[in-house]
Amino acid sequence: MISIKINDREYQVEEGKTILEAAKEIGIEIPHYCYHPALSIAGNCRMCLVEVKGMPKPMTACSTRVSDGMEIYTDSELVKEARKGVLEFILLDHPVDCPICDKSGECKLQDYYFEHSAQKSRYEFPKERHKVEKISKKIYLNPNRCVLCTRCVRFLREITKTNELTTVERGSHSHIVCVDPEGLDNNPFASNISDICPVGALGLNEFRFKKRVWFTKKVKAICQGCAAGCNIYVDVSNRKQLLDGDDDEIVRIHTAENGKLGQYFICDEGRYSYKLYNDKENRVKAPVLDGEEVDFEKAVEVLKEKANVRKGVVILSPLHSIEENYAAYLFARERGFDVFRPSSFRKDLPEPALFIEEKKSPNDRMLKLMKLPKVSEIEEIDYDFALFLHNVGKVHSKSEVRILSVLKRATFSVVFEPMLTDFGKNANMVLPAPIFVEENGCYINGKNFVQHSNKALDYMYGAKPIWEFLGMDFKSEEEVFIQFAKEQLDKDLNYQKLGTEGFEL
Amino acid sequence: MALRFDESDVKKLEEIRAKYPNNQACTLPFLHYAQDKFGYVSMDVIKLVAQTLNLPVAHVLSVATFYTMYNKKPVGKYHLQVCTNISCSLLGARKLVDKLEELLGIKPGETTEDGMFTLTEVECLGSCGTAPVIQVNETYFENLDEKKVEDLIESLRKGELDV
Ligand code: SF4
Ligand code: SF4
Ligand code: FES
Ligand code: FES
Repeated sequence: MISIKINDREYQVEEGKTILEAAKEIGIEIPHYCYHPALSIAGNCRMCLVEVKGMPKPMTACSTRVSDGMEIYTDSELVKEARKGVLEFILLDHPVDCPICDKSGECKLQDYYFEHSAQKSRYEFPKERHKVEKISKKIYLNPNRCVLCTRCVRFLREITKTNELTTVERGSHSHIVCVDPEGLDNNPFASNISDICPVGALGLNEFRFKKRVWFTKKVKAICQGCAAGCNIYVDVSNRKQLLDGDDDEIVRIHTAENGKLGQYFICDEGRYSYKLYNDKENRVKAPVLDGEEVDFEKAVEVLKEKANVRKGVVILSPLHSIEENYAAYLFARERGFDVFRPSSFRKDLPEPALFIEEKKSPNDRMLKLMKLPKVSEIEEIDYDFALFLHNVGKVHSKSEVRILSVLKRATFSVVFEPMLTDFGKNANMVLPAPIFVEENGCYINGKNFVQHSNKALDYMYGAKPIWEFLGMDFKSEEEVFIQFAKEQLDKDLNYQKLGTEGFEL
Repeated sequence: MALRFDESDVKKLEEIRAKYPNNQACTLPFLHYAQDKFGYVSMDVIKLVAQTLNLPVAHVLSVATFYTMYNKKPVGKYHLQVCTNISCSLLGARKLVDKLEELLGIKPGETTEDGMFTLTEVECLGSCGTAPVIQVNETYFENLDEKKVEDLIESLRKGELDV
């Protein structure tokens, strides 16, 4: 540790850090474009200029390392002047078409301009114009809005190592071009360049002109796509808050960084998975008993009666949260029912795979940690009562066959799922399960991180957590989680303790 | 037509390669070699160089377009490169460009129909002390004014100058 001063206050920081990183840890945000925690240092945008005592000129905070006794100013007159100048240069050739730009509202150029510049352009010459193009099936490029930070180029060079984009020419003619549209089509991480572009130069075709970002609610959640458990933002449109007549649904998924997990990107499959959750048609819209919709009270009553047997089974799900699974587990434990777990659905890894996991479920690890037997170990199949929790996604095909036969042979079978599947079709009763964004839930990923996913939407279509259908007395999701942590992990945990970066077991 | 380096090219390129620490460092000399061989650096040439050096096309394209010394289009017999950077501009480079446009009937970036002249504006040629400067192929013409430019074109047309 060394001691430095920022804006006249003394701090202890780790040696070897850059000024920008050291300041970030302390909580001082230094404006930047080209800096990205997962990419090499480029030092080309000059937005991060700070004053360092004893240095003749302002220094780039992203590329200058801290040293003992260093005195840094992030808000002096010199710095303010420098930021203003840098922004004037960046904006010289910029179309300032924010009203039709999809990044508007979350654009760093817009934000910094208002914060640090807010001056009229003094540029009188014609601006250089490039064509706006779809550079792949997924992405468009508007070079006119580009600030040439080269984050996109470095991402494709350093992370995916596929080199589809590059800068060409130089000086004021310099711009980004795509040399390999097909490569971008096939790159399983390509859409990240839309997230890491600090301005509206790169965007997703499917999000173009779709939604102003201020008409969405951005909530941090955990991707359900695989055992990597990537941190994501789920943007939802919210009928109650907003006036433009939208339905409650997920508008898009984008990256939420988790430094502790070392995750700065998400895969395209996870990003576009939101469509599965917006499938209104297949949503189970009420409890269904022998093909007839019934109300909640009736469902609870029937369940209570049918579960009053000696020989029952509960099959949990790697696709559901700790909370849903554990409540169902407690229900089984109370009655002395058997509990099993299905194997996760697996898929071959794409090229490059980076952090993508083969297991296509977010919570496989929880069930494994509980040492529950697999459904393949079910010996006697004729149960009086069977409950299976299912969710959007799949389980391993062998497990699927096994579970279906358990459901078919049971005297009374219940499936708790958000979308109607073959499981529900083969059960006596279907209960409307919430989708992941309708409830708080925790998941344990492949690296043994317990992570919390936030509720973004109200329960839709009469969906409720399993414990309400089972007549259990939990007041919140968190209550179930606390009990799970205590009994299964021997840990005193709650949502607050998990924080935004999760808890490593 | 797929471009390729023949055996003697490969031998010469290997000699160049031996002088540099790694493939990436050879980008410039390989591009120069290719320009000499094929006349100009087209996208196909860029791909060939990238393939030869086992580097991403993105990298070679970026380098080739950064430098004005690589001609991305075919050029005429005489390539007139007028420096319009600061020193030359202060000493009248703009007027030289105007004069050349008038004499040749083309704009910067264009080639005359007879294939004799290509006019290009370039950045500092490193000869600010004798600004304004025009580079014709490999030869510098210094301390120019409009009259001298007229004479220059005249002599080039007559084939009196070896550049
Ligand atoms: S397109 Fe975006 S990410 Fe790429 S260089 Fe331009 S501003 Fe940066
Ligand atoms: S790697 Fe897995 S968890 Fe991460 S975004 Fe992709 S599907 Fe989701
Ligand atoms: S963030 Fe430091 S120069 Fe771009
Ligand atoms: S500015 Fe023309 S040679 Fe330097």
